[in-house]
Amino acid sequence: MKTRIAELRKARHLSQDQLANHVGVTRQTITSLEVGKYTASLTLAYKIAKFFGLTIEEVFLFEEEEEK
Amino acid sequence: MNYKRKLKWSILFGVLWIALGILAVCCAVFWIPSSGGGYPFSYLCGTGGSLFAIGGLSIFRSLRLMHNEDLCRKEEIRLYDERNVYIQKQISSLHSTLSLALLYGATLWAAICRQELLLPFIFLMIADVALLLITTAVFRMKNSC
Repeated sequence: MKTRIAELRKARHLSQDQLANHVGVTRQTITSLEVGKYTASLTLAYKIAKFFGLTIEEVFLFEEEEEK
Repeated sequence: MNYKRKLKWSILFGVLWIALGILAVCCAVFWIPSSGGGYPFSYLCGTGGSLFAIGGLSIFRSLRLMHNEDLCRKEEIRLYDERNVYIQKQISSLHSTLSLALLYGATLWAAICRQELLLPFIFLMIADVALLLITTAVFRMKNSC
């Protein structure tokens, strides 16, 4: 799944490690989310969206084609 | 369970493993030689030594984490990280499938080459499949709605 995490994180001058500490996951998870290798659970998606002050849809770009 | 509490349990279990390890080595040294030694001696010594080492390492690791807040938090995040949990589940799933395949292979090999080993292998295979069925039933019941 495509996300805007990297873009939002860079706009706030945060490192992957700092974001990971804020949402309670490892840096590797943030890397995987940014490159689209891992799809976050609803809980993590909510935590990340809340951290950026946005909705889940604004951070995670769901494409129906991916699910097929 | 709170991670700090988990560490305390880990220390407790570490002490238990060390005690069991010492007991196993004592059994090997004082009891087995009178019955001839051999394989049970090395088995008990090996198990005892391993338990002692596991217990020692577990206590050392838990004490180190309990005295370092930053390290403890990092370890807690690493342990409960959802991607790590997901990977761990994938590993367990693949491992159990491969173990079952290996057991089927071994049973086939026993049937062809070593027929005296066939019966224990068949029992193992039946037990393995039964465990798989029980586990499946338990988790299906737990998650039924």
